[in-house]
Amino acid sequence: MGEFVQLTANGALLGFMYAILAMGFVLVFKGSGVINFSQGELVLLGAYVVSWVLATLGVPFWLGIPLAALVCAVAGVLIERFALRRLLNESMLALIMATIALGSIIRGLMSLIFGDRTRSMPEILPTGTYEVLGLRFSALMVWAAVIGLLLLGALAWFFSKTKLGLAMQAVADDRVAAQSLGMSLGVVNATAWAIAGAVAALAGFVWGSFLGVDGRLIALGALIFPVVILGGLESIPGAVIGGIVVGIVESLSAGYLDDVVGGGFSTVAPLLLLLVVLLVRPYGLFGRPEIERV
Amino acid sequence: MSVRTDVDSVLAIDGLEVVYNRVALVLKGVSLSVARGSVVALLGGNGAGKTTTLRAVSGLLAHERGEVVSGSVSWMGESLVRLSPDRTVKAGVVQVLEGRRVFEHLTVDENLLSGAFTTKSLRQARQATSVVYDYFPRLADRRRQHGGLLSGGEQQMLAIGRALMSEPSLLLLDEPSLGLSPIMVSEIFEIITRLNVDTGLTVLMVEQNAEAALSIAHHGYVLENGRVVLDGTSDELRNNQDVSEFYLGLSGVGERKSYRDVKTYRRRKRWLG
Repeated sequence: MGEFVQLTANGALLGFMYAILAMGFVLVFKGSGVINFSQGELVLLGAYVVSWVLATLGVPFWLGIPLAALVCAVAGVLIERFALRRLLNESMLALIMATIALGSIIRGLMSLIFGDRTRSMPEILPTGTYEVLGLRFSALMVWAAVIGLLLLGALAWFFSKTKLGLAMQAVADDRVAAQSLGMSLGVVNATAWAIAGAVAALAGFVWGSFLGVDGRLIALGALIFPVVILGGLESIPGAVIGGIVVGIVESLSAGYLDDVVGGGFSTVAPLLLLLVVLLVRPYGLFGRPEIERV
Repeated sequence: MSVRTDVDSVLAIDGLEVVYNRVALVLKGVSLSVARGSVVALLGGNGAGKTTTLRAVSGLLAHERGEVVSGSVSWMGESLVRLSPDRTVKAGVVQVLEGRRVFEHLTVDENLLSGAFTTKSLRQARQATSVVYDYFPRLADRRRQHGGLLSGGEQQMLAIGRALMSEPSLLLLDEPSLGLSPIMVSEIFEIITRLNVDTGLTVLMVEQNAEAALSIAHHGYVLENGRVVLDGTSDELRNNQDVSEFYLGLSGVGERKSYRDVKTYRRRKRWLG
């Protein structure tokens, strides 16, 4: 029983880290209707920029992390402006292809600029363990969860209390109607990408602290899909809940099944879960079916 | 068709030609003018170019791959051709799209707030909602509900109310009666009339329901095949034999008429003659 609780708790913390990854993806989809296949690369970019600002430039973290977030936000705006704006009225498929191309370009640029050597993230987040009620938690993951919660709060505020947040929701709902009211798709899309860039910097910081900074971070992009399909493509709280579910499934199958079925089953488990969810609720557990009046 | 040169004409469209996908010529030289503070109806069958005309005014052609290739659209002396929709809204021209297109997943309140995006801060927008709720009390009762859950009539009210949030001087309405019950149609048309009388709002309205449209419009244009084939005051149009036959569904003595008897060539001949 103790082991079960411990695994579940670890999984939940892991889930927050997935949620931070997924939020950037959800933001882009919500704000510009693009299914972003380059989210993994964006996180890699974030990780490199954070480690560069903190380690190479030696900027203190309280200034360095916002600075890195700003740099990545600018990168997001540039991506929107130069890669995607021309495709504004094109089909979803064209947009998806463009993000895949974008991913290749970022990947190439990163190894060109930063080389292939694994960089380490400066130890800003504590690395020890915390013990609470007989359960042991990695301090790193606890702080990652705190960052995830703060991010969730900030985004919830943005969407419900600001004009641009409202406009982003309107654009996600009906682009043409939003345009007819004078909302500029360009401005709204650029905002979505800017925030997604900033969030990617945070995700890069958290995951870079966890795994080290190198091309392997890109693989995280694939883990986003079970999370966002579970949580619904356009729901930020859904990303958190989806992340937690995926985290717990992964942690439990690592604890109980990996020894039985052979190593590595835990990495497949979230994807199996994804398949089952798609069969039962194609719009995700917390996504919304299209409202249809009869 | 000559362009009317009323002194107080606020919207003047002259020889407008619009092409879709670079090949399909949909408007073949439409000219019309809308006087300040008037309600003008744009009538015609499917594919006549009514919606395209509205989109050319509101700047919403690009998304349909449409383009103005010739002619002019001038609003209070300034050209609206190739102006982006946000600049058009700032200039005081806003279009209510066909099929209502409310934001289904936003509440009624949020739908209205989004209408003020270009012209107001969020705080100003919150205050302005009360004006809209005065005109549409039905919406006030449902302000926390999601737009997708309203009835068709309420959605149409919401779509109009949302457009009013930017305080336009010219409201472009595309088929406001589409799919609504006759009672709802008359309720909405009454409100449009009240807006026109109270606030001096100029209205250019596309309608298939010619009877309802002419009952509140001052002036009407009949479009056919991308051209204006007839125009006149509402009374003139109502008394025109062709209009009453083809759009109002009445023949000379008021008896019902079968669609089989409608001869399209006749009206073409007569109007283009």
